[in-house]
Amino acid sequence: MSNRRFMLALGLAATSTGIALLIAGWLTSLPALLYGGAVCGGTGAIWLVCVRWTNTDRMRSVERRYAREFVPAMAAYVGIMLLLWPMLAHVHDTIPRTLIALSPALPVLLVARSVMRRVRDGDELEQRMFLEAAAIAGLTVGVLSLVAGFLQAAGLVELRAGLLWVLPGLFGVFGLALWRVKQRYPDA
Amino acid sequence: MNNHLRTLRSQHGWSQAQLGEQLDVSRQTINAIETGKYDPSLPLAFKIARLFGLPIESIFLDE
Repeated sequence: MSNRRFMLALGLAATSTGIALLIAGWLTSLPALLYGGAVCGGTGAIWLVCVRWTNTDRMRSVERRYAREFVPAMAAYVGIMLLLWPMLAHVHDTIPRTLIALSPALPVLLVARSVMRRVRDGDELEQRMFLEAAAIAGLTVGVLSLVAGFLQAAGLVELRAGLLWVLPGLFGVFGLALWRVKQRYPDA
Repeated sequence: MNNHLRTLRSQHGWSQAQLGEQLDVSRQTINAIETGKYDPSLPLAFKIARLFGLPIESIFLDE
């Protein structure tokens, strides 16, 4: 399978899931489904747009392994956030609340593992690009977090569950930074 | 760094992807080396030289 075809399949799957969740949310009036549908559909739409800039190279074994590990782990994370996390509103005992609150952690760990293996097993140019993109992501999210922390400490803003946005922010900025770094090595 | 990688690859009838597979690197890395945008590490340069059966100096030109 080529990189482009994989990105297209991923985009279509995410967009379809998003639309299905939006319809289900509209029919049941459940906010979690509407939110999940918006996130899934939005992410899928972004991936479909990115297909245009994805190369048609056949996926290498290290890329196929990354897809096999990353996609199910991310799907499990999304499923848990949509189906299990909303139960927190109805569960009041400490132990079940703790278990539900920590339930997304396992798929997140698996996502992190898949990313680390992809970086470790990339070739030398890929590792150089990953390093540069990771530095940009770390510094950007770090500085933004610090600024937000200053504002919160001064009582000017209230960040509810602000820490939850650090890792998604890192992944998002990393993805953008990696795309930008790759522009230095255009196909001749 | 200038190099003769594209010429050598063409002489063997290999695509960039095929050469990348033999060297265990991505096609983008092969393209970046051929266009002079990226200089390979010493181990990779030796690997390339061994694959083509040529000394490193005849593949990579010292500027």
